[in-house]
Amino acid sequence: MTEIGMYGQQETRQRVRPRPAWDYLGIALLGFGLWVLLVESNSFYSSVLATILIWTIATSGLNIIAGLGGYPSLVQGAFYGIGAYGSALAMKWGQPFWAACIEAVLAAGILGLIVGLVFSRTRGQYFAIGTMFTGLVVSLVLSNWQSLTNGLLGINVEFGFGSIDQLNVVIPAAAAFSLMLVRFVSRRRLGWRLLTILEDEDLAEHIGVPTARTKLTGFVLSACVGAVAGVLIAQYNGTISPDLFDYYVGFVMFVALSVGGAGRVLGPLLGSAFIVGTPDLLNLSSGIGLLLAGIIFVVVIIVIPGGFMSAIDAVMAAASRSVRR
Amino acid sequence: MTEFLEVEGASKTFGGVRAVDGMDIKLAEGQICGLIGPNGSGKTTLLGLLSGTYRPDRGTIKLRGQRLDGLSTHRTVQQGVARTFQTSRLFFRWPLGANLAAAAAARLLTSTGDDADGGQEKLLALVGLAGRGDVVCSSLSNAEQRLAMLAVALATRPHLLLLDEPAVGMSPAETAALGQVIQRIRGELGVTVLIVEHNMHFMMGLADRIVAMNAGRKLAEGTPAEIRGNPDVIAAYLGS
Repeated sequence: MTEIGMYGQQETRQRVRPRPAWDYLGIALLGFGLWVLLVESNSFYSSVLATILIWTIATSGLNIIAGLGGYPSLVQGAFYGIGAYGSALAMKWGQPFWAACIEAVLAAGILGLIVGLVFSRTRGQYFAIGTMFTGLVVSLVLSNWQSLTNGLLGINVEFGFGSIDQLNVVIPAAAAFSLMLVRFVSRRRLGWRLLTILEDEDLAEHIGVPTARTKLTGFVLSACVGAVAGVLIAQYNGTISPDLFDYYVGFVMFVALSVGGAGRVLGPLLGSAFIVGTPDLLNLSSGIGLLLAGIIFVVVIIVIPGGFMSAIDAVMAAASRSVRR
Repeated sequence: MTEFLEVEGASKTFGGVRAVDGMDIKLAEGQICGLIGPNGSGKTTLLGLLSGTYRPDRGTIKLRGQRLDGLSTHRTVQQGVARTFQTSRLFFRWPLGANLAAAAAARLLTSTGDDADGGQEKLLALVGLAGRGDVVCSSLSNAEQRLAMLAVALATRPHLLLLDEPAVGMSPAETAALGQVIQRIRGELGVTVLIVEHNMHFMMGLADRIVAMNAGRKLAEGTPAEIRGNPDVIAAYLGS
């Protein structure tokens, strides 16, 4: 079997398929390394890394519908927000933490189902615009429904874990699991089907792919994973406010995915590290940070359309050629 | 006894144009049937109705007694109808083998796209592309792409295969080889084939039966020799 080229990858690239177990083991080791980095860094770097890892989860979710399926969803920030607010509110109303997590993820999944039913009939820029407006509606609700969300002031989040150490284990573990999930999905029937939709949706129907159902499944899965990230950011921050989940967050997540490498397992990690990490480490204000993200996006899309992962592929290929010589 | 394929009164209108207007067709299992007619006579639209690309406005389509009309495209494929297109359509950025795997995975034949039983290589050998599974489809020649499209259609394990001008852009030698491939598909896989094709010489040697269409209706039906001598068909093609 040959590896199939994904979004923006060099078309003629072929590799022998690695044994899946090694991939999962590699991701697990990566997660372990990130955990060590998280607990050994000082509090500033640790919090930057935690945010990067939580964004990795959210963008890995996005990777399913946008990376594998090629549907440019700009609503991932809303699912992230629903995960955060949903879990925080459910706990405020007396639910135990585990139940609050499940309810928040379910809520995002249901919204994903509704949005998917409406917008999976549209393609390309219309899908992007439709999902972006959904994100706008959610962010408006979060900032204006005073009695529910306390508006712009935000709400305090009850800490659900036993200790901060537990949370520091859960965040890198969840990030690693989200990477493994994309790796898993991409090699299963759902992944094949999403990839055929990315390549040629009409032809996909003609080889028997139920395209509408496939897109819906992918979209709901993306939403649920996005909500998990939201639960974790709420737990990590201890307080949440609508500006964390503004409508453009979904767009920035899409940028992070594209910059890292859409459809690639490690793309979300690289993209999040760059898009979230750069402004944080340079201590830029959020406006300048966004501007920087926009510039990075344009430059990367022009110079390396497949994102950082495709640049890494090119470097590895050149290295292996020079070794063989 | 139910017919293998039974089309009754199938009609399809596009914005006031009656592309297919009350077509009846019956096909026996294992037949190779040709569908001919001048440009705009509704051949491709009829193929689209059979493949689930379009839904008929009126009429019924039955495969082994099962209604196909009204089914979505992917459900029609799952019922065992596959098609190819006038222009080459493949997942061009992928190797040919991945195209076949995707088709097999889409039909729930495998869950992971693995090719455990070597079915891919058999299919490739059948269409004359043995050993070409690793080649990215965009680098295949035109004739190879057209054969690849056949292999992808067959990877969905159809009972009925619909070919829309399979020999477009092929040299005479390639066309002759294509004829043998279609014979093998019928002989080895038992697949029933309906071919839309302009090349009468190609059809004469290949088809058991030919249906001629004009202006969305059936003009004539019979053996290739009968059709070639039919004055209505000659008039429709050459103008009376």
